[in-house]
Amino acid sequence: MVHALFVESWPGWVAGALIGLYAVAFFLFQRRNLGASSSFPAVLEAARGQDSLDLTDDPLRLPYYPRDKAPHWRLWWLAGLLTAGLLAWALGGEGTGGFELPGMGQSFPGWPLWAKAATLLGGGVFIGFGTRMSGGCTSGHAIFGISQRQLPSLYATMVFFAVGMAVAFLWNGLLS
Amino acid sequence: MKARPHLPYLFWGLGFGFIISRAGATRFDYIRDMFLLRSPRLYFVIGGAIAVALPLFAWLKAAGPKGLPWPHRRLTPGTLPGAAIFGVGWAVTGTCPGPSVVQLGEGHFIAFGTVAGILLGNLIYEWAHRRWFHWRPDSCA
Repeated sequence: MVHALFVESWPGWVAGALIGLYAVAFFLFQRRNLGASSSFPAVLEAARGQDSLDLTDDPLRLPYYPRDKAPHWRLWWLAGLLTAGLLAWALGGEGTGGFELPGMGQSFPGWPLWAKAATLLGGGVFIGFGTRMSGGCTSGHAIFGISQRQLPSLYATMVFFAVGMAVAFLWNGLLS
Repeated sequence: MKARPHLPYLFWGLGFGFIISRAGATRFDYIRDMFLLRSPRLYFVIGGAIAVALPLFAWLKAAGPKGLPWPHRRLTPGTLPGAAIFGVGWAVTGTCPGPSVVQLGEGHFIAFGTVAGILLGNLIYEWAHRRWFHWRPDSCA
């Protein structure tokens, strides 16, 4: 039981149902919509000491939005994500531990470590730029957006899945 | 005015992070197998989340408390091009924004590259938005 809960990966539909319940509970109890990608501009804002705008409404600090009563909530939420990873690692969860991500070897055969890290950095720039331009990522668009029947989120999800698939098949065919 | 406490968000983050870790959404190999249609696993995760949340949100909207912050997302000129750019990064890194931070916690320190890249991408976007794009940005919910 303990092993199934804390070590093994859960069945996909169980984890999915939990994420769905989580989304609704977060919305109901915290009265906010969640999107992981907006945590990153929140880090930048905090680093600059510009911490009083609600990034929920305005990732680019446009002047006409109300001030937030809990400006750093996204940083705390992010700290929770980090702690969750540490917890999963400490409990010996499948797929945790090890400098590289599990399965990277197959997609980057024979690549030196610096080249893999640089590729992740470059890919990260695409993620940061793209999510900000699009206004969401897998959580904000695919989970919250689609579940709340936001059509722009549905279109965005279709686009990032299609492009992700195309890039993965290209990469798989050409490089590995 | 008393600030709303932050501490609950630590626990909300902890819950979300642990679920997506055990969902396998933090795994490079699972994301690759999702895109290459080798494994339906993460489709069950995302599909299951929507299948549960969609009717519950509909019920909340009809019968829930007043004053909930229902979003009204607009399609901006950036919504779809941005999604395409994100799709490239998602496939290359095998990670989306939430899981990248969980991966760091899981001891995969190479994920520092992804996280630093995402921050850098945000900075570049801010600059590019001010310089070239003049639409009002929609936000990550």
